[in-house]
Amino acid sequence: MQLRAQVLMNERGGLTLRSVDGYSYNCVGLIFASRRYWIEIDYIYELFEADGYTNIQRNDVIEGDVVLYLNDNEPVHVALIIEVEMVGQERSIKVISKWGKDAEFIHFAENVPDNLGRPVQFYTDRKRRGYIAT
Amino acid sequence: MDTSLHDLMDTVESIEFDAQMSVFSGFNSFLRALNENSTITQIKQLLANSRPKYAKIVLRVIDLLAESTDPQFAHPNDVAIASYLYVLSSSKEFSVLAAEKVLLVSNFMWAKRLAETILANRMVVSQP
Repeated sequence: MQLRAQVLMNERGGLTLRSVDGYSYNCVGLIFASRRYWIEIDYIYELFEADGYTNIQRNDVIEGDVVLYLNDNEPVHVALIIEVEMVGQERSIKVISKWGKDAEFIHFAENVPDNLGRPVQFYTDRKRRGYIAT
Repeated sequence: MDTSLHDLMDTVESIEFDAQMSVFSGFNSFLRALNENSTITQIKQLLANSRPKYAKIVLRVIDLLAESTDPQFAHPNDVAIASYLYVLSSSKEFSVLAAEKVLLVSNFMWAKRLAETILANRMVVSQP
């Protein structure tokens, strides 16, 4: 796993390696199961609904919200937002995510392999009443 | 061994291929990536109607299964073996043979899922 992480870091810049824990969890398990389980990405919409997540716009995200990656409208990857910064009129979003069986990385939301899709949907578990757009 | 097939199999068993194909968090995403991968496509084209080449892949699967691994950790050849099962799946005869061998070994993830799919459905997963 360490070798795979090194390969991925060599292939693309801008990745900060957080962990190469060999325990079997994935991006979904990182966010929804405290790094304890591997949960297939196919169940992501059921998890959002069960846990009261709401679909929000990219301009409304703050740290702690979640970004979902789609490839041809199919969910492929999910990441936890840990930093949001305004760069001009755009929001620069940094996330933490586990790439399947590979390592946990900290990276900009767009900086993933092509076959993990693009970061196009955003979700929050913040309740409507306490929802404060920044 | 056919040089082209040999080179392609080296690619499938490389750490780079392993890293590239280990990023997925769902079986369907993994299968889709295999289906779209150029190395896998080339192997499927080489295999077409060539029983000796199918047999060569099955023998390689058996070799990889025989390698000593630590059962506490994920099998290091999981992606390679799953990839071979995928290309073999255009032949019911060879894929079932390999899938039965794979299920005798523990700590696989994608390879186990693919082997179970092949044996449960007795159906072709990929087209030559």
